[in-house]
Amino acid sequence: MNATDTLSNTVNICSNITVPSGKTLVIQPNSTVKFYSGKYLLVQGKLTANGSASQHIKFTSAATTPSRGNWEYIRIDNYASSSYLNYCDIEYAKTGIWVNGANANPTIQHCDIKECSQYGVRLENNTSATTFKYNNLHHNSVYGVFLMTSSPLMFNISATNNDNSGLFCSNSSPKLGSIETMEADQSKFSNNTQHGIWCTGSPGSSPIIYRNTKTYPNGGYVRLTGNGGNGIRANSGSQPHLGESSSSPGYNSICDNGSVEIWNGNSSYSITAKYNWWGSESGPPPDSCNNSLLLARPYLNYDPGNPAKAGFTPPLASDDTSHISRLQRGEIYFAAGELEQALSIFEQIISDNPKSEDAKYALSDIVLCYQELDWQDQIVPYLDKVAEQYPKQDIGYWILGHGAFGPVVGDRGEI
Amino acid sequence: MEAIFKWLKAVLGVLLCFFSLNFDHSIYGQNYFASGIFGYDEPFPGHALNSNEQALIRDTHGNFIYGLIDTSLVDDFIAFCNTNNLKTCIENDPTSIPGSGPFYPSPYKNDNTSLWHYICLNAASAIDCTLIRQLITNIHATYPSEPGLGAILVAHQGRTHEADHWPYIQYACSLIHANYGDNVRSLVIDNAGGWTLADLENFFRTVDSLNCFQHEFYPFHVGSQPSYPPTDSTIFNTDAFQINLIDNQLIDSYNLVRQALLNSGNKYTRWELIYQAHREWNRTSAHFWRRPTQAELWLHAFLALSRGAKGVHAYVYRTYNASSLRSFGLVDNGTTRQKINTPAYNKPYDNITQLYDHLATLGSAILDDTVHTAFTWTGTRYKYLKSITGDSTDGPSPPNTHRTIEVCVFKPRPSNNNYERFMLINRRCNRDSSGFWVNAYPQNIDVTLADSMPAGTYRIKDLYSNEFYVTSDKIFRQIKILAGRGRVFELKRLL
Repeated sequence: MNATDTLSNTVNICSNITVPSGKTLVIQPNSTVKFYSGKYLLVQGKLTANGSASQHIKFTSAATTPSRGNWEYIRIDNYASSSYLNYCDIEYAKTGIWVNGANANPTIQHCDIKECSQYGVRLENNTSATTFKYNNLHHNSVYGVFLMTSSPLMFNISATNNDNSGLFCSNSSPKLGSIETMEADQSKFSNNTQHGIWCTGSPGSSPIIYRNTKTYPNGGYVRLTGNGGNGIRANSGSQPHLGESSSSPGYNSICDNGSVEIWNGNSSYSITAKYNWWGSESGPPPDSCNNSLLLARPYLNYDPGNPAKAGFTPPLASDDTSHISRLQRGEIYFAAGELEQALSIFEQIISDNPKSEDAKYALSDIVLCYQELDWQDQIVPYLDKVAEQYPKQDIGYWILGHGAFGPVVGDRGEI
Repeated sequence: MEAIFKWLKAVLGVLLCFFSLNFDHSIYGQNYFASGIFGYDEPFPGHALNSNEQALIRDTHGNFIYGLIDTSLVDDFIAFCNTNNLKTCIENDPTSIPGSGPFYPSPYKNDNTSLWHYICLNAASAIDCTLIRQLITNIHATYPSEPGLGAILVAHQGRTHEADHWPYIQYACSLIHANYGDNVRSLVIDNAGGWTLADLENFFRTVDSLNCFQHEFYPFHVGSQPSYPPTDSTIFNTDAFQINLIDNQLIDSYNLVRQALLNSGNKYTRWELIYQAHREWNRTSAHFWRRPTQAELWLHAFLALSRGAKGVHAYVYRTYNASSLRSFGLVDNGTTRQKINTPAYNKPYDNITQLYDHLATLGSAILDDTVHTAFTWTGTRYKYLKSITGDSTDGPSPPNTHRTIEVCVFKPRPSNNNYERFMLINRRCNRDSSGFWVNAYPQNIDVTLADSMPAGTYRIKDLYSNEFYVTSDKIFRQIKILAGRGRVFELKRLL
């Protein structure tokens, strides 16, 4: 027995195999690992399957005529060392890769996972330690990715053509986005039989699907298109964030889904989905959501993955404020974390012209600033103060009529 | 005669004290598992191999080439071997002594004498050590270090069986070794089936400086001369598939050689097989050999490997028709790879090529492995092997006769004692339908390790394909082995 054992070429897994703690199993590039019926690979030590673009590693069924679910899974357990799966093609398992435990921290990238009878990848009780990017999960019987109490960073994930949903989040709040942002390379949860992303659980799931140069520089740019059900479905208690403001825009493409683009199972709070492309230059259609609790404006009038398209306006550079409005400048300060500067500008906008459109947005941004500053207990008093200060102005009516969120911000139209 | 023996033994004793008794399987620093083609035709001496035929033999991907060559072209032929990483054997005609030649890279001399010209003359005429020394000295003076010269033929059937001839053979072998080390082998060709175990054992004990003993064995035959042109049914009839009888003959034959070597204590001589790849009608002796099927051909070779053979040689290359012999070789008319009435699964040339491609990898991998034991699996446990089970179903005809699996266990190498090596051979070569040359059945074999093996994860690795099987319950499942094929596995504990 060695600390490290290496297998290559064709590897037949005749029985359940465990890589014990302290041991490393290396699968060489260009290998094919064939699992016999019902068998699995359990990793408690370390698995290194480091393929390359030209030399993938295949994990598949040993059956002459393979079918979904022929074998069980590759499971990376809690306290396993930093396993590495790169350019691996996984097929015909029940679950391609199952990461289980808060301390499992594998890197899974450039993997193609398909034809699984349950999930392409299952992350369970796993924090953001798992690196999960550039993976393709398709044609699986249930979900491309199943997250259970797991909140990984997931970039450039393609979860398409799965029989249920591309991504299922149960009490999970992953951060989704794209490092490469061209349409073909974007993250996509598309063409699944049910939903692109399904958020559920109790208390719920709140994935972050927007871009912020400071906090989520690779977020957003996600395609939620062509699914049979919803682009994203949020059951009660779940609140996905698909674009918060101009400083945290979604830059997602949400369109062409069979049912409403966004299904909000909540009755008391909205889903924010600002600065997204809804398949039309005229913005989100009236039936974008099953209820009115969707903040979809401002919206993009172009597909963010297709900059060659007419009308494209590149995002503003945060250090170039010479030609932009006062509101945009305030939002840039906000994005940069200079919250007091931002607050000062927003308050000035309201003070100067409380009847203006910008005042409404400034008020919304002030609420966000308060949240960032952890001043939640001051939000309502502040809004009361504004309402009292401008009782005869539109802004005051909105606050009094609709509460602090959602309808405070009206339709501004395209940016 | 007794005085001569005493003198020879005294001389050889001096020579042998300089020799290693453990054979090095490398030649000029390269592993050398032999895979050869015998170019031969009737009537004696036939015609010399032309350049086209030489190229065709080379393209079988073998590494040893026999064949009659015009005496004026021997140098060119050796150069051809040098260039193409081939080896040939050479002989010399004792009647040409004194002198430096001619030499023949063939067991036959192109002079229509029908004599077998090797160094230890087959004829009963007198031969002495002086002549042998002159012959070998002349060969060495002419070809001191040609990589294409792989062997010097010392004896070929005939008087090889006669004990009073053995000291001369031993003397010739010793001199070849003294001149060339292990880079050029001394070679004896015979059919071990004509020997008793005791005689062959004594031969190996006496001739223990011999590098290579080539054992010729042709088991595939029919009872009477078929009509011509042959058809499948007339060639093969029911006898063709009595492989259960034939492969027992193969095993008996190979066991004889291996056992004789073991009993003799000779650890220097290695044996190689001259196998039957051709069809031959010997009208004089009324023996009618048929071509083996592809599966039988592989079985022929792999069973030899399981008994320690370190090379295989096909016989015969060329198709010819003489008064006494009609042979259908690997090619027609000496050059054409289109076969005489050859269905798809019996293309002799292509079969050989596939086999040699395979052995180029596998033969080298097991070259330094020594057979510890070899046996037909009958359910008896062997050390680390608890059970070996093949498929539970058979082909339609004949049923339940060929479900056998041959096992060969190699000795662990001293330098790598953390693994074991063994070979499994699927002996089931019967056809899988009413057609004659359709595929024979593969077997899917389960290998269970002994209970005494420590718990853990084990893997076996196929030394040809590098395919792994991994298990943690001691059962390697569904190891597919095609009909007649063997697979050599390296067993190792991991994780």
